[in-house]
Amino acid sequence: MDSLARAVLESWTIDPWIILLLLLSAWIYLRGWLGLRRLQPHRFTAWRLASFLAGLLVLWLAIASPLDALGSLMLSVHMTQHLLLMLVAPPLILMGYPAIPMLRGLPNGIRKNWLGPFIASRGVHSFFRFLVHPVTAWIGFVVMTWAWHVPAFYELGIRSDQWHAVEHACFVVTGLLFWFPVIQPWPSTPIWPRGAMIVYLLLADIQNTIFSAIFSFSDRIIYPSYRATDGLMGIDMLDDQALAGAIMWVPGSLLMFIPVGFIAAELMRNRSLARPARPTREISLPVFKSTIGGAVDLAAAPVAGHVIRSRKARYLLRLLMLVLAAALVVDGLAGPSVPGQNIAGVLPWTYWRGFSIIALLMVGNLFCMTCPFIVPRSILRRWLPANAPWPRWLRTKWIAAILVLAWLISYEVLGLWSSPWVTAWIVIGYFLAATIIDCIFRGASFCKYVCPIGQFHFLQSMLSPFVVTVRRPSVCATCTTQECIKGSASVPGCQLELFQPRKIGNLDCTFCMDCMDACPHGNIGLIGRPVGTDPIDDQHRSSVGRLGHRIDLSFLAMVLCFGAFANAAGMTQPMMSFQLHLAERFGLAADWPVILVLLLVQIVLLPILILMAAAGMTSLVMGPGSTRMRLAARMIFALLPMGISMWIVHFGFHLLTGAWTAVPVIHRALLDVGVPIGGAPAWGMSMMPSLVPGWIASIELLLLNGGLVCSLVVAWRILGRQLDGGARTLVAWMPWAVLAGVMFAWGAWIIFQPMEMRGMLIP
Amino acid sequence: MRLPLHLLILACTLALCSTAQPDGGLVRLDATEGNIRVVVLSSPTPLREGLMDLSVLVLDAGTGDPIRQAAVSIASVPDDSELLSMTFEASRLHSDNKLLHSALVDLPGPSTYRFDIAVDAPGHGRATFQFRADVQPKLPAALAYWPWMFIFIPALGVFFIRERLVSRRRACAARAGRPGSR
Repeated sequence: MDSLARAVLESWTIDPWIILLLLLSAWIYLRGWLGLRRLQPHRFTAWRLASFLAGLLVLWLAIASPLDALGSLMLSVHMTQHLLLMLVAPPLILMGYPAIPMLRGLPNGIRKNWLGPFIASRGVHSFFRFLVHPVTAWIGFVVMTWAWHVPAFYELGIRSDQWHAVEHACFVVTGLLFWFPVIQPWPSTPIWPRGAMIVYLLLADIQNTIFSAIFSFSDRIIYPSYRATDGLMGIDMLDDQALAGAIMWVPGSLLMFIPVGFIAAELMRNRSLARPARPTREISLPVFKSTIGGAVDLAAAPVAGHVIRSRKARYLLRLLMLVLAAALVVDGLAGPSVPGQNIAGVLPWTYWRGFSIIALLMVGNLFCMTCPFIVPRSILRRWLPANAPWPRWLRTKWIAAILVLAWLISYEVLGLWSSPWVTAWIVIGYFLAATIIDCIFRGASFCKYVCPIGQFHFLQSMLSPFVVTVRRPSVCATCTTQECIKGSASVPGCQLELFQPRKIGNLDCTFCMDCMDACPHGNIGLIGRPVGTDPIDDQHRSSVGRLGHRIDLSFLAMVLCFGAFANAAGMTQPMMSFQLHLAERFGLAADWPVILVLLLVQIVLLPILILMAAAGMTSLVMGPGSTRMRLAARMIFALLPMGISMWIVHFGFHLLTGAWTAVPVIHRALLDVGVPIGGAPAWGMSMMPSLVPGWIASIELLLLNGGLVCSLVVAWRILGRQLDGGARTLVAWMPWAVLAGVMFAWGAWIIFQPMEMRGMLIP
Repeated sequence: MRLPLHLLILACTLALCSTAQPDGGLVRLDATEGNIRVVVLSSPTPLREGLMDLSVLVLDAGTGDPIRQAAVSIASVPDDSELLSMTFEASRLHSDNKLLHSALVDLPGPSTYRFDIAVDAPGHGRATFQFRADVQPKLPAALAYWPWMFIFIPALGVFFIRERLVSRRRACAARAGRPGSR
C-alpha cells in the first residue's frame, strides 16, 4: 500500500463522546430487543437487530472514518458522507423498529417517571405525528438538503467543527423523519395510503436530480474552500465537484428507487393501492415491562454481589486499606517532606478523596465499608467487652459537626495537605480515637457520633444510587427474631442501631453489611433507587428521626454543603491573595487568623443568615405552623446535591490533574525500602501541568449543573408535598432556587480561577 | 419569549465555535514556492489569545500529491514587542487528517501576528511562507464556557413540562374518578 493511501486510511476522527453515545444507544436497544424477542419473536427478528446496529455503524463510519477528515479537502468525499447520513443510516435504523426496544431497554425509573408522562401526552403525540407527516417530513428533508448546501452555510460547516456537527445532526434528524413514513416502523400507523409513498419518493428523487445536476454541470467551483485544494493528488476540483454531483445523483436515486420497488411489490401482493392501511393497535403493556423485576440489586450481581455478600472479601478489603494506611504512616513519618514525593502527600489528598467521592456517586458509601480504622476495634473486642452505652446526651451529631468544622478549618490553617508528617499523625490519631472509643462503648459509637469522615460519607450517600434496604417488606412483617438489629450468634446486628424495616435511605449507614449477614431470610440487598429521592423522603427514619426535626443533623449538612465551596475556594489564587491582603491590612504577622475568620463566615455565619432569610420568605407562603428554623433545617437537605457536586468538582480536579503522581511516589518508596526497581522515579509524572486541559472545566461545569438541577428538583418536591404544587409552591421555591443559583455561580467562579495543584511538584 | 430562546441557542452554538479544533478551519494561505505548495488552515475563527490549531497541507506543486515526509515548523511573531515569539513543530501525529501537518500554537496575547512557515521536504527542497493574522483578546473564561454553564436551563425546562403533564393527567383522572388521582 503506498504511503498516500495509508495516510488516508489512517485519518480517523476518534471522538470518545460520539463512540460513547453510539455504544449506549446500541446497548439500550439490545437490552430492549432481547426482552421483546421473547414476547414477539416474529416481529423482533435477528435482522431487525442487525439493521439497527448497521445503521449505527454507518453513522459512525460517516462521522469518524477518513470520509470526515478528507471531506474538508474534497467535495466528492463530503457528499458521500452526506449521502450516508441522510439516505443510508436513517432507513437502517428505522428498520430496526427502534422505538419500543429503546424504551424497554431503559431503566424502569427513567422510562416510567421521566419519559412516561411525555409518551402519554396527547400534545407530544400530536407534535410527533406532525413531524412524521409525509408533507412535513418531505419539506424538512428538502429544505435541509438545499439550505446546508448554500455556499455561505456550507462554508460555515467547513470552517467550524461545531457548525459541521450541527449540519450533520440536521441531516440525520431530517433523514429519520423523511424515511419514517416510508419504513413505517412498528408500532406507528400510516397517515397516507401506502401507494402515496411511491409518489413521495419519486418527488424526492426529482429534487435530488435537480440538486445533483447543479453540481455536475456547474462550470465554476461552487464552494470557495475547495479552490485551495484544487489540484490535490492531481484532481481538478471542478471534476471533483462533478463527481460529487454524480454520487448524489446515481447512488442517491438508487437508494430512493429500491424502496419504491419494495412498496410496489407489497401493493401488488396486497392489492390495497387505494385503501389506507387500517391502524393496528397491537402494542400491549407487556412490551414495556423490563426483564428485570423491580429495582436492580447490586448484592445479587455476579461479581460485585459476591464481594458485597462475602464477609471475608469485605474483611480482606479492610486489611488492604490497613496496609495502605500503614504505608502512608511510615512514609509520612520517615519519607521526604515534599508532599508530591510522599505517599502521605498523594494517597489521601489526591486518590482516596477522589475515588471515595466517585464511589459515593456511582454506588454508595464504599469507603466506610472498607474502613481500615475499625480493624483494630474488631480484633481488640475479642478481649475487651465494650459494654458501656454511649452517653445519652452525646447521642447527637454536634460533636461530629464541630469536628468536621475543625477539620475544614485546620485543613486550610495548618495546610494539612502540604505536610506528610502531619497527615501521618492524623491517621495515627484517628486509629487511636476509633480504637479507644469503640473498646469502651458498645456498637459503632465512633462511626455514628464522632467520625467526621463518616459523617461526610453518610450525608453524601443520601445522593447515592444504591441503598442498603430490605428486598421484600412482607418478609420483615412476619419476622419475630429481628437479627438485622439484634444480631445472631455469629454475626452482630447493625452496630449503628438502624432497624432495616424502618430504615430509610443511607443516612448513618456504613455499608458494613452486618445486617445482610445476620438476616436469616436473605432479605437485605443493595437496591437501586432514583437519585435524589432520599433527601425528599420526610418519613421517620430508624435511629435518625425526621429530616428537619434534628437541628444537629441540619447543622452538619450545612457545614458540609457550604464547606465544599469554602474548601475549594481556599485553593484559588484570588482567595489566597485576598487572605494575604487582609492580613497585611490588619498588620498580622501570619494569615491564619484571617483564614479562620473567613472560613467561619463562609461555612457558618453567612449560611445561617442566608438560610434563615430564605426560610423567612418561604414561611410567608407556608402560613402559620411552619417555623423558620424548622423550615431552614429541612430545606438545607435540598442544597446537599449542590454541595456534593462541588466536592466532586474539587476532588475530581485533583484526581484528574494528579492521576499519575502515584507512579513515581511508589517507585521512590520501593527504592527506599530496598526493592530493586530499575532507574530513577519519573518525577515528570508528578509535575504540575502548565496548562489544565479545557475539557476538565467542561466536565466540572457539567457536574455543577447536575448538582443545581438536582437541588432545584429536590427543593420543588419537598415544598410541593406541603403545598400541593401550583403557584404557591413556585413562590415558596423561589428563594431556594435563587440560593442554589448563587451557590452555582460561586462554584463556577471557583472553577475559572487559577488553582493551586496540591500534592504535585512545581516544575 | 420565543426570541430570547432562539438568541440563546444561537449564542450557545456560536460560543462553542470559539474553541480550537484540530484539522480544519479557515483557509489562511494557498501559496507555491519552488516545488512546494502549501495550504494553511487555522481554527478557531476569529483567532483569539490562547491555543489555536494550525494545519498545513504540503503538496508537490507539480503533481498535487501530498508530501507526507516534510518537516514543518511554524514561528509566530507578534507585532507587539512585549509578547514572545515562539516556534512550533507541526506534525501529522497531532492531526486526525494524516495528510495535514498540525500544531497547537500558543498565542500569548492579542496583537497582529506574522506566521512564518518553513517547509523542508526531502526531494523537493525547502520553502518558507508567510501570512499575517489579527489575534483578538481571550474571551473571559465565563464567556468561553458559558454554554456549559446553562445546561441546567433545558434540564429544568423538561422537568417543569413533565410536572405540568403529570399534574394535568392527575386532574383529568380525578375528574373521571379514576385511580391515580390524589
